[in-house]
Amino acid sequence: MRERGAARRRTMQVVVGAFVGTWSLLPIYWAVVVAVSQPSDLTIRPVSLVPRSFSLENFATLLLSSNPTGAVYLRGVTNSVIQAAGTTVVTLLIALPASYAFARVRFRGSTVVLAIITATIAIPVYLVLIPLFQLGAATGQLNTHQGVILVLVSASLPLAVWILRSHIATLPQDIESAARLDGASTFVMIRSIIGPLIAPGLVAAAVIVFLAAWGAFLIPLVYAGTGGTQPLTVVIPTFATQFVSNYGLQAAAGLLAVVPPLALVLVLRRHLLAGLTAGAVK
Amino acid sequence: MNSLSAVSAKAKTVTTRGPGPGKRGRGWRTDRLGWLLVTPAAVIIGALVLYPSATSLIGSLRRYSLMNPERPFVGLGNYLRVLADPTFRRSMVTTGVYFVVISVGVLILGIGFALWLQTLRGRARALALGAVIIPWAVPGTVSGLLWSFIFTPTGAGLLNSALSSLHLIDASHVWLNTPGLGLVLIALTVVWSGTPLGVMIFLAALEGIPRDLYEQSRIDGAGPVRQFWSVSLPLLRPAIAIVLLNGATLAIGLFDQVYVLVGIDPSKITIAGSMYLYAFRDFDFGLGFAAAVIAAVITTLIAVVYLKAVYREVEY
Repeated sequence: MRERGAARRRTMQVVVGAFVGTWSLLPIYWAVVVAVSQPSDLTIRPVSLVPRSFSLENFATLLLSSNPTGAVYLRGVTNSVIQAAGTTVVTLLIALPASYAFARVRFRGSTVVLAIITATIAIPVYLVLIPLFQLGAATGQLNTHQGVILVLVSASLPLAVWILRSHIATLPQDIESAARLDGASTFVMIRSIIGPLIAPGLVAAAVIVFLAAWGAFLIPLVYAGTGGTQPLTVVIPTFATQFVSNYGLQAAAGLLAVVPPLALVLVLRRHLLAGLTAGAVK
Repeated sequence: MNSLSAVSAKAKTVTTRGPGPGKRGRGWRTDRLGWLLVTPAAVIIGALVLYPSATSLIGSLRRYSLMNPERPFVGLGNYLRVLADPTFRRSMVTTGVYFVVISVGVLILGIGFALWLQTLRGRARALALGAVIIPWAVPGTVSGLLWSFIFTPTGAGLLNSALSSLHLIDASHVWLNTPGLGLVLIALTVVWSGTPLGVMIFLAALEGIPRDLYEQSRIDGAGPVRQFWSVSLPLLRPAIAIVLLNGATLAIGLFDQVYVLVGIDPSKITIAGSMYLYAFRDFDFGLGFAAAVIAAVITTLIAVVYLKAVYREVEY
């Protein structure tokens, strides 16, 4: 009887596994099929999940700056990299010292300020979008990288502070006492002792901020909707209307935009889970 | 053990750092250090989150017009106009449909996938976790694009071609324009994007449940199904509350997937989408502010309900 239970359990595992795999991967896999196939092959019935033809032409079109489409796409890639990487670096540089102060320095007002900053996690983008647009227009920050980055930083900071603070709070106090006896300044200590000790938390926060910045759409649509600072998330929907029947090109454009965040998540997934759970539990 | 060390660390902080009597100089230096470290973050959040939120609240009470640079105070006028607008009302109903499908979907798939991952070990689990979290890396606009290749009525559309290959349909359907079903399908693409975070939250919560609780209930004669309902589920309440809250936020703020799948179609947009229309198509910021505030208030009310009714601190 125990054996039958084990067999049933195994079957369930496989059945659920097949569903999970199909659900998670099929939309991406089908886009690959669309991107590499000749359009006419996609209309043949019965439909085939294995591409009937194979060509990387669509990817080449996007990655060669010698043609106008490729030039637009590659500029989107550059802009996405600048804005997502810039947002990640600036967010962590600002969040780390603040998180240390909230976790360790018992200054007057810390509870209130921390409560306010944490509460702003709940403020949705659409509530602040119009004023930020007005602010950007008034200060000439629309269609600039630093304008987009600053707004994305403000959106990511609360969560980053919350994650890093909970990691720092779990460190034993003795470490800093020892460093203080050695005469290390607070900034040196944060950089050379606290930083490395909460590496999993830093990695988790960095990935979360990067993913949010890379995937951001409404903010850049309003803040960098025209001109040369459009990131991929803004460029790709324009491709969908401009090349309305060229599904292969659209699919290739979407797939290439997924490569950097996907690589990051897959390489760092173990740290990500560890970093997230430590932050969530304590 | 971890929680113990956290408690002792907290106790130590209190004894060594409390601004005790007679240490006024040190207290002032602590204050200065603390504020020095916190100021950049506080300034950015103050200027780019709190100030704009206040501006939205106040702006929702004024009339904006391109013709008239003065912005007269109109009280709740914008709210009344928005609530009387059929397009806005429709977006509220649409948001409700998205809300139900996304909440149920993220909850069921989140718990289901997490339970499944828990039965796996070693390499299989690492691989499975990788597959589960992949959609998380896909930007909302791109996930809309990927799903458009499944739903499109043209040759590239997988759903139509699969169903017609199986002779279940004769002609291609425009799935996203089918009343009712179209909204459900759009919501499913958001479930796809939101499930990974739900799985991670549930997986962390499940791992935190002590093994001996399961041992004990097994001795009492409970099978796996019974164990799930009487042991796991009650202890997952905080995780359920957080995942449901995330689902509500996704639904009410939904914009990216809709924008790519069907464009800014008034019959498919959320409240956040109608904010975009008012502000950036009609350039009526007053109505945009009112729509944004309504969406934010609804989200807050839902959050309060979830935290009161579902969230319970659990003691093991």
